[in-house]
Amino acid sequence: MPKSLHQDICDKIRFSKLYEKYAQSLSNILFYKYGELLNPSDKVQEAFIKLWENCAKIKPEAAKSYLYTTANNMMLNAVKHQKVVLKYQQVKPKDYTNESPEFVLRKKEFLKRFERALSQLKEEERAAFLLSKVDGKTHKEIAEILGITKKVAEHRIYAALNKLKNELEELNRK
Amino acid sequence: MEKEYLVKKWLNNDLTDAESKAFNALEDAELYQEIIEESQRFNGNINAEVASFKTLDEKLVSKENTSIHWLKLVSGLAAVLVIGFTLFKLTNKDQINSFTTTLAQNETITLPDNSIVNLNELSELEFDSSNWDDNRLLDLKGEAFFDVEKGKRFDVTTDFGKVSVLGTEFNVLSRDSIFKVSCYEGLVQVAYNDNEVKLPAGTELVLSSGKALKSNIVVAEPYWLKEMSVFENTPFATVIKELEKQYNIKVTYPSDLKMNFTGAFVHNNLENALISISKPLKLTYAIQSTNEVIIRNE
Repeated sequence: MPKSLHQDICDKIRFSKLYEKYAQSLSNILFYKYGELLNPSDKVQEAFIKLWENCAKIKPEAAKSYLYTTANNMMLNAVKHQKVVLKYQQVKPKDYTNESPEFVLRKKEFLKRFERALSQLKEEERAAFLLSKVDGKTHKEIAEILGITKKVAEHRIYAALNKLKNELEELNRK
Repeated sequence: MEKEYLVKKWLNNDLTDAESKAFNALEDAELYQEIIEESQRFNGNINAEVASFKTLDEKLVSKENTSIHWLKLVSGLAAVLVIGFTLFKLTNKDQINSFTTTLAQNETITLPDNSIVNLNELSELEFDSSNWDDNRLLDLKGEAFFDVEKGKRFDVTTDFGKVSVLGTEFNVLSRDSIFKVSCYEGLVQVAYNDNEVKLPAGTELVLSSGKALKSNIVVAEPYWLKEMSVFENTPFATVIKELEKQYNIKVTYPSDLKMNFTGAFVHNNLENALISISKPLKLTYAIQSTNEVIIRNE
């Protein structure tokens, strides 16, 4: 772990740097793991507020893991019986206007199934998969974030892909 | 196996050109691509976007402000207290100290001459500490045990009479219609109505419905100091009343129970207390809730 120049992060500028660096990626992880029902971005802010309150006690190099643990625990406290809901963007990433109505219909069905299949994945598989393929994190980074080995991360991503494939395959055959 | 290897490598963006061709030739390659493409829609950057640092900063600032507020408030309060206390000390020479105990609460009070008072539950003690050495006078309602240092007269006034001593250990109970003084050490003088009785160590005086009864003490120290209640041939209802008081509970029991109880129960464990009451009388008990107990015939 790199040694830090400063003793703590009780400094607005350093603290804001920390926020810019980790807040969004932390929010993404929470979203991938637990869905959007429980306001992942709010939990991130709460975690940062907690970090600020305890800033004198936390060394800069420990701040990241403190944030992740705090936010994750807050989520777990809230999560309990909630069902994961991931929402796909209404905005289409590609322009499909030239496509046939059949194609549009299939795409719609595809996304519906995709959404369901994604919610049915185990949360650790979903998180690893989306971190890798959406956030473009390397296996090593994912392993660090989720506290697992590279090998396990690779396996989870692969397992997630396969499960999604099996769920969607049928539609493709039609 | 070959396929799994390829897909894993592809997932890690680690395919060589040749492998890439092999992957594209896979039956599911297109679907895999589509899955990755469509998963972009679930991007957390859009779906779980965090607010800018500025909005967080506002929350942090407001926190800081409130903490300063608190500090001001607390220091202001402290200042008022200090000034108030000093003024009180300066102006009020007649210092009345009073102590009150509630249900199941004992309090040990050290008097200015190091005499010790143990105040039992539901009792009130009041004394003036300003001129203590010349005037050792206390007002008592309820029950207390006194361990008095040698010195001038030590008077305890109650609703029923006055107890005076010169350095001794004694217990005074003055509650409802009972007045009982027990002397454990030294000599105690009890004045009630127009009578005066001297109690040597090891004796007690019970005054009930105008009649005074002098007897020897069995226990070496008042039972309640040991955190237990002792009974000798006492009606069951009285025992239950004491139990209810000690544990702050409501006890229901068969009304036709006309037994007398000899024994004791502890004050720190309801379960044990209930056993020691119910077992000898062949009764059973059930704890309904934290403050409800039912006692039945076996």
